[in-house]
Amino acid sequence: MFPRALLVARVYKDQVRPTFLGEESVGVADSVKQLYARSIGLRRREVEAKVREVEGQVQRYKVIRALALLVDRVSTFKQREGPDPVRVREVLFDSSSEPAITPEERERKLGEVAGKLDLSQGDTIKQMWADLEEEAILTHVPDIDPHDLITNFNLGQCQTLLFKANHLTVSFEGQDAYKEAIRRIKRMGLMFTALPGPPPMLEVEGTLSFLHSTEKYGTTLAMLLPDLIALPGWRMEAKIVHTDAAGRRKTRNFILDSGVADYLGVSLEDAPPALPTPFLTSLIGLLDESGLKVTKNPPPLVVGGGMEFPDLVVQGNGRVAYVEEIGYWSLEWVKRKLLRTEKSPHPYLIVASRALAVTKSLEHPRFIAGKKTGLDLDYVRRKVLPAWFPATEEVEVGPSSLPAGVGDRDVHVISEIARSCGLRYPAAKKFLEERGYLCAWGFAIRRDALPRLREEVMGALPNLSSVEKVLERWSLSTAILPTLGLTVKWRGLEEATVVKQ
Amino acid sequence: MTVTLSFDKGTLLVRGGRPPIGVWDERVGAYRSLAMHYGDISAWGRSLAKGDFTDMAFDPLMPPHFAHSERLRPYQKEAVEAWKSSGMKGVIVLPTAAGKTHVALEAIQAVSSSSLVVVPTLDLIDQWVAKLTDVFGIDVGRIGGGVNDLRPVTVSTYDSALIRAESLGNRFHFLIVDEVHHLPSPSFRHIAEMYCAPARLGLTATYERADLLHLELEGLMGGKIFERGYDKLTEYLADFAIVKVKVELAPDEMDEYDDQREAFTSYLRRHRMRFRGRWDFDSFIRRSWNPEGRAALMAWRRAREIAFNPRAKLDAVRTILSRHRGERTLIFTEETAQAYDLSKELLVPCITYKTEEMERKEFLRRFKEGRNNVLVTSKVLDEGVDVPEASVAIVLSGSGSPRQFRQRLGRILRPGQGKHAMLYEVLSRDTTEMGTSARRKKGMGALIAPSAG
Repeated sequence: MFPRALLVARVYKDQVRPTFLGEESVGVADSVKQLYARSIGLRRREVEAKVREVEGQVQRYKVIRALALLVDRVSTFKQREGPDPVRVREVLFDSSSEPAITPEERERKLGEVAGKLDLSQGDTIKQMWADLEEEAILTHVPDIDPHDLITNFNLGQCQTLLFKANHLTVSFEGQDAYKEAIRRIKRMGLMFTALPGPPPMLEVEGTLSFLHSTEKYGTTLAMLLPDLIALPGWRMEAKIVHTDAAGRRKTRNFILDSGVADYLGVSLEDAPPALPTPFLTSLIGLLDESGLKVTKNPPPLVVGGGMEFPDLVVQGNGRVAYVEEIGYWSLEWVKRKLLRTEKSPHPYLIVASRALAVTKSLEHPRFIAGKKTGLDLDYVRRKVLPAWFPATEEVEVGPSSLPAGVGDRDVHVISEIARSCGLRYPAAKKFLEERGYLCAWGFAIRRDALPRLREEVMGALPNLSSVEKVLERWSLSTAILPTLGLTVKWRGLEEATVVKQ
Repeated sequence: MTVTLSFDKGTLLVRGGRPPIGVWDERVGAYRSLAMHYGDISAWGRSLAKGDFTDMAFDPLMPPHFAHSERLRPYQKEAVEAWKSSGMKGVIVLPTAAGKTHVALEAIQAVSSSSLVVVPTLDLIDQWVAKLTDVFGIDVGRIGGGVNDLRPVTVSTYDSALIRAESLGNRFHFLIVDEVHHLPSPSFRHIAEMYCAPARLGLTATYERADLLHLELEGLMGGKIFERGYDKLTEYLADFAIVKVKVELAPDEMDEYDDQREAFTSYLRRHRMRFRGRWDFDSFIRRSWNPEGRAALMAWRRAREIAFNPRAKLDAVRTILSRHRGERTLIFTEETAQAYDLSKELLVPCITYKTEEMERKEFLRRFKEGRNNVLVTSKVLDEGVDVPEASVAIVLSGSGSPRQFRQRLGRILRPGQGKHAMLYEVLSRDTTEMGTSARRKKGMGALIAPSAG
């Protein structure tokens, strides 16, 4: 990173971009390095004066100054040899409360102090502030590759431009890159909002930037940059508050992608291939056997401003579901995850091993907790797959096969009807629909009973537990609420209200 | 359903209800707002039915018992009353040396809760800590300059208060911002935004900013609620005079000055640029990226350097010092290098932004105790540092900012027995420094004594 004054950027329409140095500038970088190498033994202020001489001879003097700063940072400067300057000052200032007003007074005072310190008068003055940064003497310049100076310059310019960023979005290739990026973003104390793609993007921000445009996080974004651009397939777009030559503040776009990795000296990190665990491998086998299409390592899924990382996308029987296997888990963590993934465009199933549980488990249709020995494939085959991937085959049913009394009840559980009649689910559903039932979420409700049901539910709003009691009386669950034009609004894990959709 | 209010990195989150201020944040399923709205949001929460509101946001440090026996001057009492009747919010404007700190002490006692004092420099931290410790007899925390000691009453630098706002924003009931004219800058304004502190007090001698950002103080701190100028407080401040000392550049210096100025002004003419204010200067700096612009910039710098630091100024300083032998004298420079050069010439201590904390304290102690009667400094002692012993100030070079000039003058205005303060402004005749001097003394004409040659 450089001081803002050393930013060399070009503006084109609504875009701003740092000026990158390339192969043609290797000679310039080398000459700056050589200037330092020839200046060994000089004070920093003298070296800086030499740099100023050189920079006046080139078109873009800031380039020279920035390259010199890079060399300066890796060079070794040492304080002039001699007595500790703090001690010299102490003796000097102790010698009299009055300043040396006349040259004679100065001569006398210096003479006394020099005597006490066993120095010459000249050395006493030289030593007086020898611990200042600009007085330090250049003693060593490392053998830096000028190519590295160039890439450091380019990266530093990008970071310097980001100081004034009030917005940054990034995207990558592959789930692992996103996972790692999120980890790195959080480590810097920043937040993110996931935006649907393709490709999905992470909008990196701080708590304040959600409320108003601010450059407060610019420095943190600049520090984050090297971490992000090491990930595969990166692309970033930042909004930079840029002041033009006329002093007008405008927001301009700074767009960069991994195509310039060479200019920045970045070696892209190879994400290790994600190998499915035995747990997941056995599930994939079962899904294949069942004729379902399985896609491994799909792109990340944007859900409600967050990002989820399913391991599989499963398709079949006209349905789609995501599957994610989790590692160590707790009841609360899984609850939060289930809540978060409720808004997923397709059912989001969570697979976990009880061996990795740190608390008791929970029952939930989208949560599949395998045994310590492995996934209970029989359970998945019997319960999970029929629930989420019901067969679509339909069977004509004659009225003679129906149990007695079906027509008299307001609510039926479709699967119970199917079981008692020996029918497949879709056929039972069709049969009930033909007989004046509204079928939804596994329930069949007689259409003429719907106004009564709706009236009772509306009377219990907005408290979820009151609504649940009404539904219980009707042998229904809250899954039916969307059918009544209602939805559950969660205010946390424990509290919820029922509101109109 | 219970409404909960929590603190999240300088912001507030409201769950279970819609607050009067806030934006829905889908990521966390809550309304989010700036921490500075804590007072309004918690008042709204408390207005809900009993038991329907849980405040988990505010976690103030346990305050000590505040009691002091300091006596306030009448105008200080008026200032505190004005602040109380403004709902314990607002900015008090008093000249340097008029005792703003005393006003703050009274306000702290009135609030009697955890308090954070935000100051611009490390020296001011030392000064506030010493005063608070002395007056209230409590342990005072400090954050800044590598120290991180959090206590119910803490003094912090602006930078540290900003960096720590995400974690400390909900720990203080009372926020005091000294030299509050710095607060509305694009970065420092976040201090006001990210702290809950329902009680707020800003202190300054120079409220207005050339960029008009002081208008932001209305929302951030409560705006100006009390002001008294020098003219109303003469009985409480040291008697003072401002004297211009004009020096001639040596012929070789004048020639070089003229050449450099010509190089600079011809560049401006060629590019049809005018200097009407700071914004025009910024524009010039931004345009100086190419060799021609750089040459003009270097010429401007060199001309300024010559005007700031001609050989005759050293003679003038010697003359002034000889007239005030034995008196505590502060010498102000604009550039750090000039301060060190003068220190080497006069063999006196020097404080700049480069001075280590230990030595800075030691040099100030030496000056206060009279072990060294002269102290050279650049801009770091412009603001707030209390050196009541100083009676002479020499402004060897400075900017055109009236604020800087008034602050520098303020260093010698602390009243003392029979004290007659003198501020000498040493200027290079026939240079732009004369215009700079006029700009910085805008509004102080009647106070300036006839010039010395």
